Formats: sequence, C-alpha cells, structure tokens
Amino acid sequence: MIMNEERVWYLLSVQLTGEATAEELEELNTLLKQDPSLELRAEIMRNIWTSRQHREAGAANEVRFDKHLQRLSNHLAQPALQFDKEGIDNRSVEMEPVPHRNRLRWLWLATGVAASVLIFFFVFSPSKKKTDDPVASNTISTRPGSKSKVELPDGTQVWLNSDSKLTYGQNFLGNTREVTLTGEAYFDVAHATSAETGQRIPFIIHTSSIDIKVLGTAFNVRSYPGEKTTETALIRGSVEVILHNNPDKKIVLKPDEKLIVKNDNATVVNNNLTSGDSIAGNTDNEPMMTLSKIRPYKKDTTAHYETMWVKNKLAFENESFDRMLPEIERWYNVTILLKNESLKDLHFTGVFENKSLADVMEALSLSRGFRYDIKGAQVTIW
Amino acid sequence: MTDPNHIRSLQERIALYEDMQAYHALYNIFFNNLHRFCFSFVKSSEVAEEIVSDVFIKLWQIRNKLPEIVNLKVYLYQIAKNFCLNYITRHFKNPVVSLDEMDLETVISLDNPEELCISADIINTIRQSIRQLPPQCRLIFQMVKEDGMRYKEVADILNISVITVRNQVAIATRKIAESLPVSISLQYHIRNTK
Repeated sequence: MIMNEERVWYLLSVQLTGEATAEELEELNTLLKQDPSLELRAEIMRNIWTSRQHREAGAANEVRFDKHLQRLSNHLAQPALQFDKEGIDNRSVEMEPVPHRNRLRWLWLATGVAASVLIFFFVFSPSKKKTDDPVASNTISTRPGSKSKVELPDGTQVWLNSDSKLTYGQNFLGNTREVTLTGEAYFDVAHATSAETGQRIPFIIHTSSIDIKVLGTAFNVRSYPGEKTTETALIRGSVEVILHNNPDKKIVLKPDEKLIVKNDNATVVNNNLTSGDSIAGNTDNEPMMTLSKIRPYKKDTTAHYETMWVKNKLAFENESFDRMLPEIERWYNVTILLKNESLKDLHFTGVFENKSLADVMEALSLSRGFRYDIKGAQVTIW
Repeated sequence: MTDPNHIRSLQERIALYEDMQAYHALYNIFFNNLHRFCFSFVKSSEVAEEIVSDVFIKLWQIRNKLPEIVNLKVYLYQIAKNFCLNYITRHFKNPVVSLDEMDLETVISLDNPEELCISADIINTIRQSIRQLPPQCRLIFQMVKEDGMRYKEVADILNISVITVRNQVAIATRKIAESLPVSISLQYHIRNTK
C-alpha cells in the first residue's frame, strides 16, 4: 500500500510538470480510481500546483524598466562592467577582484549620474510631432544615395530606402495608424491597442496601387513611381493587401510570401512564378498580380534578398539588368545611360556590401564583358 | 511560460535592429521569474532586482550573438545563477560548494485556504513541509511549479541530471501530499458539498 502511494505521488509529479508518458498517465488514473482518499489528496495537490503568484501592476514594471535603462546607459558610458568576465559555464564560483564596497560606491555614483544622463534610446521619439505645428502631416524622406531609419510615435520602426518618402498624419495615434509610402521601406510594426475599445489598432500603408493593412508584423514594401510593379514581402506576422482597382479583393499574406502587383492596371503581366499560387485578376487569363515565396539568401537563412538593403547590402538574385540599373542609380545617386539595348536582358545574382560604384560596375562588367565609363554622377554602359 | 517563437523573434529584433521595444518586451517576460529565482539565492528583493538588471545589461552587451542562443530562457537563468553565486561569495565570504549546503529562500505560491478548499491549519502544515525539504529540492520544485520549466531546462541551469530533477520533484510532491492529513478527505468533501 505504501509503495503504491509513493508510486502515485511520483506519477502525479510527472503529470503536473507535463513530463509524463501516456502509459504513466494511464497508470495514475487506474491507481487513483482504486483509492478515493488518494484521489482527493491528488486533487488538492493539483490546486496547490496551479496556485500562482499575483502579479504586480503594470506601472511598477515601467518604473523598474526605466531604472534598468538608467543602469544600462551608465554601463555603456563606462564599459568596465564588473560581471563582464562572466561566462555561462557552471564551474561554481570565482572570486571577483572588485571588493563589494567598491561596487556599492560605484552604484551610488551611477545613480547620481543617471539623473543627468540622456537616455538616448528615445532619440527618435515623438519630438518630431509637435502639436502646434501648422502642417497637418509629417514627412520623412531620403535622397538618392542615402537611407534612413525612423521610429514612428507608436514605436513602429521604419527603414527607408534611397529616394523614398513616408508621410503620416498629425492624428497618427488615433484609432487608426495610416502612412503613405512612395519608394521602398521595411516596416517593423509595433502592436497598439485602443484605450477606448481595447481593440488592436490596425496600421495601414497607402501606396499608389495598393493599401496594406497590418496589426503587428515585419515586412518590406517596394513601390517606386518609375517601376511597373509594387512588391510586398512578408517576413513575419500577417498582412492584408487591398488593391485600389479592385477593393473587394483582399489578399492575406503569410510569412515568407511576396505579392507583386502590377501598377498600371491597363496592362497585365502573366508570369506566374509558382504554379498554382497565382491569383487571377478580374479576367480569367490576365493575372494582374503574382504571389510567390520570398527569396532566402543562401549563406544565411534568416536573410532575404528583399530586405538586404536594410543591412546596407545591395543584392540581386537573377535580376534583369534593366531592373537593376534604377536600383544602382538610387543607391549611388547617379544616372546610368545604357547605350546597348541588348544588354537589358542580362541577369545577375550577387551581393555587394560596402562597395563603391566603381567596384560594382567593375564586377558586373567583368562577369558579362560589357564596357562602362564613370564620369562624376554619369555612368555610361555600352 | 511564453511562446518560444515569440522570444526567438524578439532575440532577432534585438540582434539585427537593436530594437528597444523587443528588449523591453523580453525584460517584461522574464523579470518576475528571474527575480524570484535570484531572490531565492540572495534573499533581498532589491539585490535580486539589481542582479536581474545586470543580467539584462549582459544581454544587451552580447546582443550581436543573440541569434545563436537556442534557449534564451535557460541562458538567462544560467547567467543569473552565476551572478547570484558571485554575489554570495563576495558578500558572505564563504565559497559555495553545492546548492544543498546553501540557505535558499524559495517562494512557492499557494492560494488562500478558501480557494484550495482546505483549512488555514492545513496551509500551514503544507508550508511547513515545503520548508523542511532540502534547499536544492525546494529550488527545483519552485522552478518547475512557478516558472513552468521543463526538467531538461532545470537540469541545464543547475548543472545536474534530468533524473535528479525528476526525482527531486517527485520527492517534493510526495512530502507535500503526505503532509495532508487523512481526515482532509472528509473536510474537503464537506466544504465542497456546502
């Protein structure tokens, strides 16, 4: 009987911790059925197990995190972190050369300094949004040849590629969050919940041909005025794309999917990248958009060609020359003149990191045997 | 405790973009549990908070390496443990040999007697029996019960075998269950049928 009981408590412990096998669960049930008094004690044990500490209110958490940020900024200003030598090895304990009293004094000093330290993590924050500003919207733009990262008032991070523009209204933090994009941007949208309704506040991006509606996610949007298509590449989360010329049609993207929409609705493309994944437009044989997978960069599975630019890499994967040239033009703020039309059909794959325009042109010309000339901001290819 | 994929994506956001929102989110996810864990060692809420802060400073310093860390939870607890042991050595001047020789203050939460359908006396008996468990056993019990950890995770953090973790949890469960008086069944029954 005693052995039986001990077995029951063992079985109960693996059940409560979720480590039990199916056989053990069955055995436990059988044993408990045989002895109602054990069953009742087991029930109390289950209740004890699910007792949880009452969590503190959110405000206390915020105060604590602010305190932590101050300590962090002190540490960054003064790199001699005393625990710096710590590995995660389990050799029990090493004596630190710094005596404890020193640490205390250092802490007091740090706390004093903290008050005056600029908490630089919030540099980007809402200062851009002045309420007395007569202009009803904020615009962030990048010139050709430069990129920029901004944080919107809701905490959403935006990386703006060259020659791009992002506009958001003064009432950005109402019950909707809406921005207008021209060019290319990578968004990491923060979750936001309405104070009144408790509902998630959607984040909407307007482009010339589509609207993208999201709750909280990371994705890349490419919508340059000169280009024939608008691309939406989803990294994680989920987004809903609404076509301007067919508002009833909503396309929901899953992670790793990319939607390419024809900008000019008069002409249509018919190059389904993945069979079966293409969505037909109004007319049966004229798809005006294609759905495909985003293209992982081989050497690093977490990177994709679509978002390489965020990390300052100029990347092409089997890209046609006439599509690459505008990108190079924007990247280096130059004008490229292609004198030999037959070169347009060349395709290239490659990643350039921190390379000069001359390096890039040299690499391309060597691989395909064309000639080029760079004069100031003018590149000629023949 | 929390969706591992969510934690994974937070790790990546911190590593790739130095995303402070993700950093803040991680802090909020882990603070309470890490604080409880550190408190068991240092027995001071203020010191425990400071050590958790140090753990997150460390996390920020190694942010570039975050994508390589497979189980961030285990990693954070390991750092926290080392920081706590360092603190104790420095503070109490007696080197720590094993967890069972340490004076650990574990926090096992129990609902009030009404919710558990037992008397206040029995709650005290339960507390008593938890207190009588060996320190390492209590700590393991706290980690699986309060932090919802897997045996493997506890084993990795405390540098012991999974079998030891399993046995210690079984011992704690048995000791507590045995401390419940036999007459409890009757009492439980009456309260329930009222």
